[in-house]
Amino acid sequence: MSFDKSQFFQVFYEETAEHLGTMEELLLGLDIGSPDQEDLNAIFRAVHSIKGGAGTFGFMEMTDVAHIFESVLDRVRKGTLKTTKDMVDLFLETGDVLNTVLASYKAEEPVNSELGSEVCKQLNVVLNTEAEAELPKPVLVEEALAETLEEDPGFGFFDDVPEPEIQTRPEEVVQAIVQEQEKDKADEKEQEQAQENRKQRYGFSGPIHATDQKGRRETDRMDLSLDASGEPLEVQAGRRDADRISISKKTARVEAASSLRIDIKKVDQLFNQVGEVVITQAMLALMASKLDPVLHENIHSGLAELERNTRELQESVMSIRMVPCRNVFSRFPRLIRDMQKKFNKEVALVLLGEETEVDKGFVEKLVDPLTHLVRNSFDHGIESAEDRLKSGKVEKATITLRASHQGGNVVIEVSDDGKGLNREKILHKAREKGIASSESMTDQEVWQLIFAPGLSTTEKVSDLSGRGVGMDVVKKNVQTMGGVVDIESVTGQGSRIIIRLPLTLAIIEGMVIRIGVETYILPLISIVESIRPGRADLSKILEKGELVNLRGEYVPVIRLSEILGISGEENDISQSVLVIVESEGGRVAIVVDELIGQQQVVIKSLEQNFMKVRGIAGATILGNGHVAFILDVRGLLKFSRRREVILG
Amino acid sequence: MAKTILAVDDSRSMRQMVSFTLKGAGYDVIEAVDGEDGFEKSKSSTVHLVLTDQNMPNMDGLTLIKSLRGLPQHKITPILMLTTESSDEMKSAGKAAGATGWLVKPFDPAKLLMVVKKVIG
Repeated sequence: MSFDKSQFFQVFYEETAEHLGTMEELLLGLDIGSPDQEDLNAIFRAVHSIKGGAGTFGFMEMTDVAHIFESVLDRVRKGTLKTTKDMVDLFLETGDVLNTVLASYKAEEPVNSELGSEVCKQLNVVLNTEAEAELPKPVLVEEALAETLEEDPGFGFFDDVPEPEIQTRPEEVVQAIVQEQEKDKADEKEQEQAQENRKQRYGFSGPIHATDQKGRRETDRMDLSLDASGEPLEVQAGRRDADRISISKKTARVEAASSLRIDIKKVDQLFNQVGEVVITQAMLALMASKLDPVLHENIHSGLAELERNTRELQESVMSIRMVPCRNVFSRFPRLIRDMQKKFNKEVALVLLGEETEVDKGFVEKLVDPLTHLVRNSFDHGIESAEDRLKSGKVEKATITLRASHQGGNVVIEVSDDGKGLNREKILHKAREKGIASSESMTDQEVWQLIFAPGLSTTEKVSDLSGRGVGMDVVKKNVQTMGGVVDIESVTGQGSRIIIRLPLTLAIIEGMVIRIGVETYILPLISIVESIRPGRADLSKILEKGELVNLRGEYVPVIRLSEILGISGEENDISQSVLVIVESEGGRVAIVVDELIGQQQVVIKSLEQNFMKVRGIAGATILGNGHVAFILDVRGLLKFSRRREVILG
Repeated sequence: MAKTILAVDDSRSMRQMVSFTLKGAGYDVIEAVDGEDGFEKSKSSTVHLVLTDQNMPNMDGLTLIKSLRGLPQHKITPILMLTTESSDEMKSAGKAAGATGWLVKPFDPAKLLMVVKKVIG
């Protein structure tokens, strides 16, 4: 039978990656002094499954490594090998090798067999040391390997499977009778069977009779006996063929329903089209709002339904791209472990909200920034054990990775209970590097300085971080995902880096606003609040522009009419609405004539279709078919700062 | 009537391959992810042959075989162990549990089919 195994490779790859992940997680959580038996079994099973799959699908390099690995793990779980830290290190390393080998298979590249043989050598040492002392029968790898390679038939049948004592079902009675009749024949067959068992890699027990080519077996006869129609065997066989066809059709459908691999381009296309539907729906809603609600009740209720369905459709389509944060977080226990070993610091890693779903496109992009942040926390944030004890903290520091959904955003935080950021040091460094800074900057603004290219606050450069290329890259990466990075830090108590990402890149929740005759969209993510200021709250500072007193905090006021040249704006601010927006720790108040409403908008890139415009993040099509610009809050903030510098 | 085979294995790729091979040959296949699942599924459906892996979470193959033999409807149902271990210990354990036969992994789809055909035609 010709058979293409490659159709199962993808599942094997995925499965093996899962097993390796499980194994690593368990190894990292293993109490080396008294490992949990269930954990050891699970680790063994993971490797066992990898070996089984690799063998079946013909991935020999992987089979070899997994085989020896399994033998070692078998001894460990049976208690004849004691786990040591070095051993766990070796196991993790073996996991890495298997991962590398897997990657090569996936990429259809030649496998670096040296990696495998090196780790096999080490595993062999572990496998064979102590063997004499503790194992009654030492397991030699060569022997173990030979076991599967020698000419073992690979299957067999046992001779005395227990005969049923009580036969209650008619089929069984029939079968027993048939068996009785066939018994003599069976004895002959058993002889052949035994011989065959030696040749083949499988085996049977007695009551099952070897098939003759004509297919006249007890089971067929049983069917015949039970079939009241009494049709001859040939007809029955023919019908079975018919069954076969219909069955394979049925199963093909079932398989297709259970899982489907789709080109990401198709998903993106679906995204875009749903985006268009959202726009059309908004357009219809707008048109209908002009219709008399009583006269056109049907249209209104129909549109309400359409809106609900559109929203659900959009959510479903978005969920296609969503994966749990676990996929990102899972690599950090290992990172922390490796760093602990290297730098002799005791740090506990806490992962929270691993089930929070993020856009699949973000997963790969998040890995680098998060890795950098965790390393930074480890290297810069967390003090030495002595310093911690001196300042009254517990010796073991904690780094927390937390993911959550907040409003329409995914928020990912990296926090530590280390020494926090040092304001003086950062300012000093910034001056040294010629980065614009001043003593009067708020803490928030100072913290943002660490994102400036070239600024690094460690005195000595370590292997981990501190080359000063990191934080600005972190920020850039997050920005390309349409997100923002904020920092909170309390000296002596630790710091927290907060990454806020949109749920998806394609659609945002926006606030539709009117300024003069123009309509704009403000991303809801950046809006803090909207206020109607009293005249007393406003102050004009000569050459510094306007400020609004927001419960004691003075926030600069931005008039978009001036920046973007819009006509028809209300001049008296006290007659307008001030929308307070926030980005990167800074706040400004935007003067708005009217808040029209909240709406989901599909982002159309201005850069791709026209050119980059400062202060504008993109464009969208409103329900009335008009194009509205989406304001770039970060850009506006920058503008307001620059103006302060120029004017001040 | 197509015969129904219960394939018990915790490995998805293995299950898929076994299932694909057998379905291609006209059998009905019920998949189960471990011994427990296999036991539940063999209680509620007609099963003409059980193929089970040995090493699985929750309930291993040997325990499954023993449990199945305790059910009146599976006292004589053929049960094959698909195992990577072909040691004599494993064989005698399989025999004691009530297995009909064994097939060593890794195996070829063709070999699997041959063995299955020997058992249930």
